[in-house]
Amino acid sequence: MPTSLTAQAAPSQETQNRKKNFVIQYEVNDACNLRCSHCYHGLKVIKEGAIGLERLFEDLEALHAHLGEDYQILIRLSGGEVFLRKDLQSMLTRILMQGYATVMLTNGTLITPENAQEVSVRNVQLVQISLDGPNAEIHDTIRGKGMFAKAWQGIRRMQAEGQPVSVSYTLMQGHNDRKENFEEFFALAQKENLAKVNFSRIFPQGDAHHLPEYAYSEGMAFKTVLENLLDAAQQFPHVKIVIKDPLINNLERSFPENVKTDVCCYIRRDYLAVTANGDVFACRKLSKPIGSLLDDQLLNIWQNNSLLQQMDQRRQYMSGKCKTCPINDQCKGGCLAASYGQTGQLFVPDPACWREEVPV
Amino acid sequence: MPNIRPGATGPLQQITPTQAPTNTPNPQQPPATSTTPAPPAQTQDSANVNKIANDNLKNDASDTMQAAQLRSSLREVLNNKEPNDVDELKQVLMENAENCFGPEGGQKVFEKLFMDENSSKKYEGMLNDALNNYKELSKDPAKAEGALKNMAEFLAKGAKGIKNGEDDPGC
Repeated sequence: MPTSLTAQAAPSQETQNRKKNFVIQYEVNDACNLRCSHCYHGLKVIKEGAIGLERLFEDLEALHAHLGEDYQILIRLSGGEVFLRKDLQSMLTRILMQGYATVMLTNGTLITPENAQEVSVRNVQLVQISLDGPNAEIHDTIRGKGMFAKAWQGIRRMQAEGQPVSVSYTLMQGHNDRKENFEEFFALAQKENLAKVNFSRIFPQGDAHHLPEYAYSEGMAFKTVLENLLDAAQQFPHVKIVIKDPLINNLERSFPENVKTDVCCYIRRDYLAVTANGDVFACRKLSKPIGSLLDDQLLNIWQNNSLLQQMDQRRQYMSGKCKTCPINDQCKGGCLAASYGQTGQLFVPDPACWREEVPV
Repeated sequence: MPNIRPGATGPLQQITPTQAPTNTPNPQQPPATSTTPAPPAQTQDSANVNKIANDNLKNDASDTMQAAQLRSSLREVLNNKEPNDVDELKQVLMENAENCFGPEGGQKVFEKLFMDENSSKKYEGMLNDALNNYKELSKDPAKAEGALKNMAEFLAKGAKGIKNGEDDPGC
């Protein structure tokens, strides 16, 4: 049985800041008010997740006890669309009373002055809002007419309450990944005083499975996109930019000071996702569940799941050019989600990798 | 059963077995059955709290002390006074504020949270949620006590207007 709450009551903020985050992405629903063509979800019908907060807390207590006090649990609320949950504020308060930190992911279009106020007093560290282009023409093609303006309205409402906001930008081949797109976007981010902009590439699963043309399947093309992104970032030193991609550090160049790189891969490191139907994922972008909380516990999955262990030790399973690549320690074969989504196989080289095969 | 921690490397069979987690008592955590503490005497610690509170709560080192004091106050309110609604909760909180932070400091904390029109409106809904959640949690004293501690720490942080804005980890 899990230990009591009081044995691991939340440490002070100062102490928490020194701890490592273990992220639990918890999908509160699968329902959404938008129908984005690049969404990695397929379902959009579950209004309330199968695993309630109390059950999640039980599992997290056991997991946290296993991980030890070097870690703090960070619950990353997502959906669907989180603001469709009528009890969202009560859930945030309950998480706060449980002593866990919270981050929220949203499309931003349902943020009102009232719910922005409510979120701002419930210990949400960061609200991440999706923007997939520098203007309505690009963004709304993916997310629907008028959604660019609504997302910005949501951002401004959160900012007005002093709530930290970051923006997530999904790179889509040929749609929003030209250098001028980035320059326009950074100029906007600077003008609007955005705290941070995160970039990651599209993953062809869920609805996006039907959009293979947006995925990066040619290495040199993706390399050029990353180079253009970095060149544009250099022109806007006051905009904080995070590029999340396992291949980013394979670029042989220096990065601007305002760019932070995150090589992902969170699999078996400090991340698990629980979806609205109770499935557990090693990475939410990788459309292959590793278990279900309907018939298992989070700690048992973390400790004993064989697929999770294989993915953690992927180097011994990787095929193709990764086997002889001199930097395979660095990128570990790239993104498993991209490989699986684009080829149907897990342990093959990332389709967006630009490195040549090295002869044995 | 293998003990696989984040970042662990090497073959599975070389990983050391799990040790049962120790349940070390936390000296700052009052027992769940504790009674309401008396108002603090003017010790060095409480003198510091007053000084810091009088400095508009700008000193980070005061966090833990404020949270502990506030927790005591909340426990008194929620365990002994049994408030039925948020107004009652706020009123008793304010009555106890001076005991927690000294006359001037206590007033500042709770004025900022509950007297200021905008702030009060914001926190009212959260306190309602907390009250409802607490009533449910009170069936398990240990859980209720942990929840009080976490809420007290958050309120002390809220009084200081701290926002983290940390990076968003995860995919």
